[in-house]
Amino acid sequence: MSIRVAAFAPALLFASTVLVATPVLAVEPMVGAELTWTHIRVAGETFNPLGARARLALGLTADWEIGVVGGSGIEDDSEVAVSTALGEFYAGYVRYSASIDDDARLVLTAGYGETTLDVTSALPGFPGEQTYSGLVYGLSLQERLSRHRNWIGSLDFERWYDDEGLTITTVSYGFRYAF
Amino acid sequence: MRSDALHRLAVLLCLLSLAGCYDGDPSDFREAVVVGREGVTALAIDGEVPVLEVGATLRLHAMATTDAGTADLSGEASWRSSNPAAVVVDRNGVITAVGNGSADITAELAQFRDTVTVQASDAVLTAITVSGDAAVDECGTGDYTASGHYDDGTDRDITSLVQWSVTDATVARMSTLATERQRLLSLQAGSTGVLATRGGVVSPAFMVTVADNLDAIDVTPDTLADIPIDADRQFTATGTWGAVSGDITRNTTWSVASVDPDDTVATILNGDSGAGLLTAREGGDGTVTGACGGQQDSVPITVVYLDSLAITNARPVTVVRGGTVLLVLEGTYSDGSVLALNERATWSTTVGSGVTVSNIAGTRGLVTAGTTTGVWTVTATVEGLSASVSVQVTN
Repeated sequence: MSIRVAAFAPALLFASTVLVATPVLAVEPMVGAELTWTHIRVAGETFNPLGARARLALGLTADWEIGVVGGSGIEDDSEVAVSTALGEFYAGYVRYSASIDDDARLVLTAGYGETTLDVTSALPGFPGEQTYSGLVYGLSLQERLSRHRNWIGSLDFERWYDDEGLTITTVSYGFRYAF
Repeated sequence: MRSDALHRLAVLLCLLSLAGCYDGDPSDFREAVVVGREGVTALAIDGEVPVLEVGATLRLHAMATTDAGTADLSGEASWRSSNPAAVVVDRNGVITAVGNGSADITAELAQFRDTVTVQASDAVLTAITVSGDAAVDECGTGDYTASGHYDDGTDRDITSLVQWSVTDATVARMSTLATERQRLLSLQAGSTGVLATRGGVVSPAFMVTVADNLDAIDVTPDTLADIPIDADRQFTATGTWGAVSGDITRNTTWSVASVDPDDTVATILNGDSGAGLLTAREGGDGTVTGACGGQQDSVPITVVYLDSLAITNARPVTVVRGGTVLLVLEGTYSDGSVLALNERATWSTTVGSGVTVSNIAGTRGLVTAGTTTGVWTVTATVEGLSASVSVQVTN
């Protein structure tokens, strides 16, 4: 549990700094759901398991947002007799966005998260569940849907892990509702 | 007041964050993938490990038994030392003696592991003595060992630790293969000294006499025609000494001469790795010669080039929506021979095409139709020549 708290701490820290430094214009809670395609590269092979994730966010200003995102795998991927499935994954983050036009915004994300992978094989002694944590960062494109301005579509590219030859990258697409 | 509280909260969260940060270890995942990909069934650390002087390094090899034979997976394995005060090991299996004592060095790859014990000593090497074959056949081999003498009065076999050399490189050379660096390969009759060197200590020359006894050399195959450009062909040389014969491919000096001096029809490798391996470069005739110890043998070769290329499927080529059709590509070479070239070709379709074509080994040239009817062009390219065909997708 302490790990979970720690994972969200930088985002909350950043958010608290923003709150201190920036007058709060309006607090806009948001919830969302996304489908996540994961690109895992290790030892020259790639695995692309699928996952789904939920998002709770708080728009602090027109540009700044903090939130948590978490999800779980829904479909594994197999290569070279090794199967890799997404377990649970979480991140706490802070986002800064800039308008592209009236409806679209370009978003930069930074946070801290962890990803659990279940690595299995017919061969004995495979590692099983592996948890990797680290800096999460990425770029997103968000668009408020014209007919229902509370609904926002988003396409997110994020790097969740990059160390010792293992990289975990995600591409997510989903919707969120701003209250 | 509110600002102070937030500031204190921020500091607290920062400290919590730093204390809670941790990382998983990707090596288990990486090793699992390697084991699965290579089909590893066993792992062993290769070779005997001598006593190492403090400061000396030696590379260990984690050799895996795989479905395809053996493979050196030293870089993929995890290495550890039971006593880093005596011997340390890096991620590639290179061990370094750092103090007196012994250490168990373990290589681990997923569920497989092997351990060797390494002794480290701070005794100083004072002299080296070489022993081995004093007489060697012309274009034959000899093997040598190096004994190290230390200032604590001990003598140890340091064959695998020394650098080997000869005093006359026209008479013989030492092997460069990691597994047999103590092996001499003679090149012609004469005499040479064999030297072992380590850390500035050089052995006295161990004199070797190479006899003048090679009767003949036979290069095989006897002739090679129809070698396509970029193809490889292996030549071997067999030496005969009286009633005895043996492989002398690595002793042999290989060369290729083109009939047309302006051409380079092929190149051929010399040395320990790939000796006698010919690679065809351009169309034409030539001669491969293997020479050793005053004997030589030559064989003619012909390198052919691709004259024309054709997709031979009956026209029109049709495929139903979602279906597949295998295109057949044939090349006609300069000597008139015809070869199937599906697997040598690069296959392509036009941008936005309603079909895809495979470039995956084993299925190259397999066209898969999409869901749209129409006619699209598929092209195969080999050695700068192209052949195209229209593929019609029907309902």
